[in-house]
Amino acid sequence: MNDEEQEQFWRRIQSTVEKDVIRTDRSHSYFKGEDNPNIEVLQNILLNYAVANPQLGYTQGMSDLLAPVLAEIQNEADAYWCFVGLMQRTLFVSSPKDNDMDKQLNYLKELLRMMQSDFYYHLNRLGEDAMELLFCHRWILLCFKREFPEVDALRIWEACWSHYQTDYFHLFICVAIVSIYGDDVIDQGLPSDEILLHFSSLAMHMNGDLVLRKARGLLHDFRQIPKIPCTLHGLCSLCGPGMWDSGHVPIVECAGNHVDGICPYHSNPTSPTHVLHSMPGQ
Amino acid sequence: MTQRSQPKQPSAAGGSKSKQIKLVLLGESGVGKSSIALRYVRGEFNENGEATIGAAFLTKTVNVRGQSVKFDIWDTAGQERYHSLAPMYYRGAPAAIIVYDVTSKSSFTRAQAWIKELLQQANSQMVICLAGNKADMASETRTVSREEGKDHAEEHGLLFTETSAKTGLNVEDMFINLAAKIVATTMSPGNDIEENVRLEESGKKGGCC
Repeated sequence: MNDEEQEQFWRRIQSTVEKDVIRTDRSHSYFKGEDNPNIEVLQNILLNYAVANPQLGYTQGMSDLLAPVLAEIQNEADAYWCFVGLMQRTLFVSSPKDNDMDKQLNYLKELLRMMQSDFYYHLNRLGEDAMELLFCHRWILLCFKREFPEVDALRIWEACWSHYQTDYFHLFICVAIVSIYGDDVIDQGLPSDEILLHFSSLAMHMNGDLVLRKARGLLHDFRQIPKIPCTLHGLCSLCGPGMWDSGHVPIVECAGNHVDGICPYHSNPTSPTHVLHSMPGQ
Repeated sequence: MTQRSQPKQPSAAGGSKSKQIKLVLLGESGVGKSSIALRYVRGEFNENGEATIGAAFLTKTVNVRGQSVKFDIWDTAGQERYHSLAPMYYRGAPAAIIVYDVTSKSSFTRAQAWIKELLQQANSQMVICLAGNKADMASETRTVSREEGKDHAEEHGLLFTETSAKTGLNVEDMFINLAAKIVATTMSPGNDIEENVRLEESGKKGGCC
């Protein structure tokens, strides 16, 4: 970037941050009211973070992730460093680019295909737009922050951050929401736009405990599956023998549905049913 | 991505007569896209409405010149990060509202880029309205004059209006005028929205309101 582009880059970040901090969690007691000084702290942290990480800069949604952290810690410096840690961990910042989001969505599609097949085939019949899974982009990007009241959302954050057995627990939560609240979508044959409306209307009305319990059950079920498709083998990188079923290692089988015909797990394009009997590193 | 059709849901209200109009709201972050949609659909305004992440979808059924019209409104996120999804929102949409903030020059520049993109990429018969929002703001904070907005809209044959999601100024009229324009051009028998909406200039009156 030349000087002029750089200046424009910073001006744009600053103006976006300024616009966002005044509309982030303003009903929360910590950010309530006119001229609340905590809003400026929120802004300082985001701008400092952007300066320290110019390749990430500021992406909308960051203020949503930072606000609960700051409200909890109530100290600018500590909250800054917690935010730095949070950004390293969340999908949000490990994947500011579209192709990282694609990877998540592809995993989710495969999980739905395996665990909520009626829902998956409904989307599949609707076509490519429905397969973009628009209804859950916000779930993933903000780690369900706008889907549940704060207490529930923070419990979900902790459950995801624990990285217990998988780095992708948030995807099991997505499947859990679909499993609990998705029947109407299939029964009423909703098109993709109405699916988005259906799930966004459920925001703040879902039962966080129920969803977490369901997600835990789904992860457990997933780990019992004797054969998993190669498209999901990455989901299991932390799924080594655990406390539930020590010794069990699933067989990874090529799903044979790769766009380029090459299995990323085991590049043997000629044999779609190729079965591997061990996981890498096990 | 290729063209594909989506099963239409039979509309509950208005029987088979109800016309569905997909409308997409585009524009820079913070110009008030969601506020315009919320004002129109629910009559609400929230000064500190949070930034849209991903996309939102709302619907509203109204009567336009005796024709029942169901708006399927796609409210998009302003930040460019999601830009790659934009074509999915405007593909097949017969109507778009491109929003800028009359107190922000950069948002007007962004609106011009959206106009360019839609004229190049989208369905050429799309009815587009350029809307300068936050028109309730004190005149000394204004950086884009009404004439500037209007001239730009006329140049490209778009509808134009200035709105305030806060006060409700021109919001309803904007949607009704868009619908009327689409309905009017598709009234003759055998006509279909996708094929027959003609984007004739709005130049004469320079606005939909």
